Amino acid sequence: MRDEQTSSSDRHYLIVWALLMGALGVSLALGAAGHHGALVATIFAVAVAKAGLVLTHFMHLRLAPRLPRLILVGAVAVVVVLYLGLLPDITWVFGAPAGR
Amino acid sequence: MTASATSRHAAHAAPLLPTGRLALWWFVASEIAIFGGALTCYVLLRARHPEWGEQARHTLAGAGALNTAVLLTSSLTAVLAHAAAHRGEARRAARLLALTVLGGLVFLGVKGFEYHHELTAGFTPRAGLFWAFYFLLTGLHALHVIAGMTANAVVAVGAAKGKHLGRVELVAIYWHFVDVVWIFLFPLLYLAS
Repeated sequence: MRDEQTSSSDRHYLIVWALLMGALGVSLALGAAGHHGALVATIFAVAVAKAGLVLTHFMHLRLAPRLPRLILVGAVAVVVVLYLGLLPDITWVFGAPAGR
Repeated sequence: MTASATSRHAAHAAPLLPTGRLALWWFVASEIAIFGGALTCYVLLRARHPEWGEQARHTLAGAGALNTAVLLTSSLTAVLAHAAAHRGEARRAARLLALTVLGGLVFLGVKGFEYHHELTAGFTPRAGLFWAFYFLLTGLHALHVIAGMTANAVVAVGAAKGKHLGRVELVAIYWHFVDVVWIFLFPLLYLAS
């Protein structure tokens, strides 16, 4: 019974690892395919998916109490606010050429 | 003590989350703020500097991909160590943590090779803003890898003696975070050229 539980949980992690390696392969293939905006966005989406797999299955966030998830969401929210706050100044500079 | 007072006391006495785990999640959140801030600045400036794509072509994407595979595999050994510790299999947990440390060593070796290649080619942090970001982000990440390796090694020594198996989960969580950071660094610095 204990050996069955051991192999079952270890097999689960191996499957997740295989999915992560597959996602890495997809990223590399997309990176070699070109550098259009849509491809870059897809590469980043694959990265988000990989991070999600590590967070939920390796870090066990899906089993964790609400507090750790709230803490992480709060930290990510701070970064998103930083991005949105800086976006107008850095990216949209009216009348100024890029690089100035 | 009345029955209601007893239940109130019990509710206040038992923490929702073990203190060590809560502290680690707060630490991870602070690291998200640090790396997130640096990555945010990189992404915003990258959008205004399309010429950085040409600079990024000089990074070694193959080495970056190898390092991604190494870190993903070391995350696997870390979570297997956690599972073994949870089952009370102390020696197996120690061996898996040792493999995790080995993964970190391989990562640093490959990173060192990349740095040597780039620096000898003249791509130093002063070569331009892209390279300043590249060395800042990867250097900061490498420091975190070293810290994670140290923590894993210390806990592995204890686990080999059957002590403090609860710490295996904590170092494993930190190691997974280091892996997640690299999951984002790799496409942003190497692939999105």
